[in-house]
Amino acid sequence: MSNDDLKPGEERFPEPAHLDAAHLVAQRRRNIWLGLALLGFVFLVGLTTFIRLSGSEENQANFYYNMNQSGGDAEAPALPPGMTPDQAAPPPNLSVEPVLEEDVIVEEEAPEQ
Amino acid sequence: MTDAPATPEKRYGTAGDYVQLLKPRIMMLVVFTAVAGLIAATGVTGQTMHPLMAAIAVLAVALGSGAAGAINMWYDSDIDQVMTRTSTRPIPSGAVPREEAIAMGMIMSGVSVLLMWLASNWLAAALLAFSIFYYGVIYTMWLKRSTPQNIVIGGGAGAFPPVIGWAAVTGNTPLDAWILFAITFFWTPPHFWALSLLAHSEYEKAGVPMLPVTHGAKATRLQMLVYTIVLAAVSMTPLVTGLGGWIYGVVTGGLNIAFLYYALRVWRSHAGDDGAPAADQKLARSMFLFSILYLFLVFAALIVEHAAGLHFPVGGL
Repeated sequence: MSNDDLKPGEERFPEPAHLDAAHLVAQRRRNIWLGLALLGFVFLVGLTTFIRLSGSEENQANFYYNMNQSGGDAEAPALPPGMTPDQAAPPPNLSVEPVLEEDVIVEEEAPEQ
Repeated sequence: MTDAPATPEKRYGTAGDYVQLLKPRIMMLVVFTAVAGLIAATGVTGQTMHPLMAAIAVLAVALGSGAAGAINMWYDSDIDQVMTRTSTRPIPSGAVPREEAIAMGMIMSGVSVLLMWLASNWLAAALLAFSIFYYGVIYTMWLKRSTPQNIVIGGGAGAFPPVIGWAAVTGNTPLDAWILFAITFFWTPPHFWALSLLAHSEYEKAGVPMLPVTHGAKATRLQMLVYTIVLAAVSMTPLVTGLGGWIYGVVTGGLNIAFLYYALRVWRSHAGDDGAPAADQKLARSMFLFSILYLFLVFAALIVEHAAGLHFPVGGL
């Protein structure tokens, strides 16, 4: 139904824009630039977030375990109140040094009598 | 024939038009001084910044500068249309609609401040936001059309980038950062008035109260000399605080002598007067061009000293 056939009180729809070829090309070019700019912005926000998280304290949560592996000269920070050095040590099931196959001692089964 | 500007012929804006909207030449100087502030802060304080974060912070300064330029062009499109020098800019030439320019300026402002915050800290982001507001609102919308001191006070907007660069690294703004601010601040009047001496009839036609329009060319030439003397003194203070070393001292000292020589010659000339000799007009233009070189080399000396490990302090507070 065209706008000319409107009855009283009916809403008038906007006429569709008729773009010429040059306008369409310009619009397409602009859309590409806008898309690239948006992509760039998202990338930069992602990059800054990644760098911040990489260096954040949360990522250092396993500091007490990493400290022994790094072998650095840095002194261990003060333990939280009430925590003993034993409690801060790595759990027995975690090994600092990689375990080699030849180091594994296999207990020989006793011969059946 | 009337003075009324012709309605610009509608044409489709190219990428180049949108780049022009961001005032790329000003942007280059802004980015350069911000980088100088960033490097000097690293050299003086020993604090470092992740290289990628530093690059993003510099990008944020560039975007902020471009945003302020777009807002300026949006607001000033009426006077840009009247002045020959600015009549080919994207809005008066019909390439970019006004509403697109302001939309671009506002979006880029938000993006630049957000990126600065993410890449560095809230202080640098707040300073960047304030400098955009300073240029886009305080200078463009208020000072430019109301006082002959427009570019003196408005010059503060262009002086922020080295402070922003410093704040991005350290999270604070000590005296050295504000010395860099002061150098750019006192550099602006002789730089800009040298240009306005040549274009004062254009400013008069557009109704902009530039100093040569309101107080005449002679008073402007005197003011240029006074501000150049103040600049020469301020630019040597980094030697006292230890911010600048021997290289900075030698380079800036030589540049100050040359700048003062230009200012003295322009002061004694008739540049900007009605019927001034072509040689005098050329002298004002040479001073304008030299002033750009001056600021570039002063900040380049700081960059070389602090980035290349060639900082040998003369003094130090």
